[in-house]
Amino acid sequence: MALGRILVVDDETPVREVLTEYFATEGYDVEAAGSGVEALAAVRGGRADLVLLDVRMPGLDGVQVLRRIRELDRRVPVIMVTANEDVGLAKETLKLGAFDYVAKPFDFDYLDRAVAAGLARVGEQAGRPDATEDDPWKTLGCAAFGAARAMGAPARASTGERLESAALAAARNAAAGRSAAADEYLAEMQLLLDIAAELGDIPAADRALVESALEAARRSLALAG
Amino acid sequence: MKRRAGHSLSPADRRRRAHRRPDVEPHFKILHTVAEAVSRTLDVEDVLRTAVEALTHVTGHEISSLHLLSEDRKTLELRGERGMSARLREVNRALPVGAGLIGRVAQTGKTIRLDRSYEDPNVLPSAKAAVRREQILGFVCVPIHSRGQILGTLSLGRKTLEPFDKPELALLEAAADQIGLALDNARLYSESRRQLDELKRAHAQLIHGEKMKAVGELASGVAHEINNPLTTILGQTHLLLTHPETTAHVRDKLGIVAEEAGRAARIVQNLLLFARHYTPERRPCSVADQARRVLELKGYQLQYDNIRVVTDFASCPFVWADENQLQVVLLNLVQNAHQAMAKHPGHRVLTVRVWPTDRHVCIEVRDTGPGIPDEALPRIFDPFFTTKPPGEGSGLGLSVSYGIVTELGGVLRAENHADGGASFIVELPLGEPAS
Repeated sequence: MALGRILVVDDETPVREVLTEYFATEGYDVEAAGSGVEALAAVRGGRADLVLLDVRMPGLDGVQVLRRIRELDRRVPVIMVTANEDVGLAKETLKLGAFDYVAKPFDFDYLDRAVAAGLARVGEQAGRPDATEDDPWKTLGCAAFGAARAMGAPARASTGERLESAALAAARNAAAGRSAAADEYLAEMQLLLDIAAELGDIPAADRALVESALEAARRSLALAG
Repeated sequence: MKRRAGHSLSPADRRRRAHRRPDVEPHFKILHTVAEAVSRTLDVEDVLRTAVEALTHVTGHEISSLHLLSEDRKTLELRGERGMSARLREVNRALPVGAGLIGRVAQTGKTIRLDRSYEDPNVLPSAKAAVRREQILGFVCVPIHSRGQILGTLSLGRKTLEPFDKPELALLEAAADQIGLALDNARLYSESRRQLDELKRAHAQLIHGEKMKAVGELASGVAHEINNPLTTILGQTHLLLTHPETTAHVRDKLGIVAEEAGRAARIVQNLLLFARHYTPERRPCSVADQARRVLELKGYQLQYDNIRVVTDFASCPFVWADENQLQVVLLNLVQNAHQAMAKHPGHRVLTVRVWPTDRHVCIEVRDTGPGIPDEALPRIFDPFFTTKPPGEGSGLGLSVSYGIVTELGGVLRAENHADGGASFIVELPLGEPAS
């Protein structure tokens, strides 16, 4: 089962190709669009769970496309991609309803986390039973991302991001049937949670949420094993 | 008869005669000297000095003084004098406008002439004893004015009983007028100089701002054009690196490709940082913590190049800064010190000190490298300026650091040490920024 459907929007073919291959290798379904018009057609057709959208494109640029997408579909998360770290513009897009922004060239770890977080959130919002309740790994990712995104910047940099990475790695290993490795990542998450709690970086409610998701993931591993 | 006799006089005799009878001709000469002297210069102090010097030649035993009104026009300040005793100078240093002889002239604009000055009831009580002791008998004070405004006073004192006569008074008044004119010119000149300097500064700032804007636009365009291919290179490399069929040998080579592409990406990133495309978020942070973090990051490389690290972190209050920016600054300075020492023979010590002063937290990054060449010192913070061979530095590190420190309201400076090596010192202000 694919992890989700990603729509990659970029006017440069080589960039499109490499992203398509990358996310396909990661286990996602990927569709590529070379222009804003193509991207809107794909969103309209309901073919995307998440959009990775380049800001600077000829014709309809990323910001215009983002506005149209928001008009078409309020839920689909859009991650903006900037090639010149125009953080001012990127923050502006957050106000327009973008989920996050990433810079080119990609930090693939960050890209992974942002995509997984975006998909986890859309599952949560939609309240789809298959997304959040049936899949303990998605629930786990969702809880980890929610907790990390609520942290202050220094805490997020030290424990939050590692928590996100560990959640992703655990899910990936579980999906591949490597339950021992998955279990190790779950243990790492527990350790990170304890550290964050000791440092006062995570509220009790967030911690409880992640811990119950951890528990569910462990049960699912035990069942599979 | 006299005329005829005069005709037969040699030029030398005529000069001697003129000296004996100083009534008319010398006065013209004096006035000429004063006018010529004061019009030669546009500097206020020069005008005052030359004027006072020229005037003391009127007759013997002269004491002269020149007072100018203070900015609030309440005090007369002694700006020039000749022949004054220390005591007399002291009582004349600052005089109130409206009281005493000189003070009255400054208020009324009318000349005062006295024959036995110390007997006059208007002499300031503070000056009376000095005037009596110095036996100043004749006294005259004329106003200096220009364009209808009193600027100050010119006074002469004489220790002989010979009173100041009318021609002398006329001479003094004429000289005062000349001085007034010259002072006015000097003031206008210095005012226009000040305005010109201000204009030049504004102009330079404008050019600098425009330059930075142009660099920013260029950087943004270049970043877009370069980051796209870099995205592809790094992405494909990443895919190959994680591909199960990639051999160890190829993996090693791919590692180099990724590293080098990453280096190119960092240069672009620095360029963008320099062009301020990044909005920093300031919060209280510990300078020592950031220094520790950077040294940790560089620890292996420093050790590899046989560099001993010495730290001295005194306890300091927090500064308001962006942690990332602070790290960029420290990393650049440490990197710079590292590169300076890496190819320099001799012992290699990197010293990082942090200490507080009343208003700042100071950081010193010191190396035992070759020091900064004298000709490079003034340009060391210029963008793209580098003393490193191509490939070792983009020439942006220090200018980026400089930009960040300046934006934080701090100072970044470089200096060489007598016993070799260079120091970079950062001073960051304490307290929350006003804006």
